Amino acid sequence: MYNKLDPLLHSELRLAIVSLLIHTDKAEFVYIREKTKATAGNLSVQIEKLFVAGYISVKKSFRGKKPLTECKITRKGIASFEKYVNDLKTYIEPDQ
Amino acid sequence: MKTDKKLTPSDSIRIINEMIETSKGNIQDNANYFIIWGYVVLLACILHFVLLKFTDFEKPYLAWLIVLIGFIPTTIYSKRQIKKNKIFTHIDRINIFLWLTFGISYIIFIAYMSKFNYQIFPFVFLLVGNCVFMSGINLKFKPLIAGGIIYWAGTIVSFYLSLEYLLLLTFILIIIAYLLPGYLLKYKKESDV
Repeated sequence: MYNKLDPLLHSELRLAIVSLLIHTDKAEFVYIREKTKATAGNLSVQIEKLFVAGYISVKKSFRGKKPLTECKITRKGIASFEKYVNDLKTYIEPDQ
Repeated sequence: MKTDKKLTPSDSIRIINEMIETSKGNIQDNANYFIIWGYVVLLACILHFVLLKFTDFEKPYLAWLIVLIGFIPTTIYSKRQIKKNKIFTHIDRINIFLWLTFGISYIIFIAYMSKFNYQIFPFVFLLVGNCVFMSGINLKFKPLIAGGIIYWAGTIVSFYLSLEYLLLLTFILIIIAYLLPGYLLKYKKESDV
């Protein structure tokens, strides 16, 4: 029995963003861009989608004169990621 | 990285693994905090001993005020690290709160040390031992775990020593159970940590 995968997480870049944040307490936009090798524009769009869904929180501030965007996974994001991984298992181990 | 690519389950697992692997913070960055505070305490210890042994200064224990200097390089280094790493890991957060509990406990001991005849050495050894041990568990680094255990042993020994020997014990403990694990962490190969 295959469980339907969360369409919000079943996307290369959004899954990468959430996987990065699940392992960190918080990460800067620049860091996420470096690790995912995504363009700034595309990354902004996908972060916004995750933010609207309540999967991540986004804090905008300044470090000196430079704008600083920090992302952090929410409880809802953690729960959704865990469900996604469990649902993924049904494709790899269909007996579950 | 694109968003419209059709993902297979194995693609998903590869992405999750890659991202988790790449977002491991560099735990060796923590070594410099041990090195900074190790030398600050060592300096305070030597100064206390010199004032006690070779001068008529009435309050040689004031030498420990020197530890306040330690906050300057610590603040500069941590700000630099945050700027450089662009990431704050769960391990970083646990470490900060661990040493914050040490700081708060230490201040309470210092504030009320007259209540137990200024004999704060065993309590401080115990506090340091707890934090070094827990840092070792948090960073999964055995020399720090051993350092914590050595501090606990030092706590028991300290109940039987006079002030001069307590300073000597502080000196020995800070070198073998604090500075040495700090240096081992700093120069450990990344793959071994």
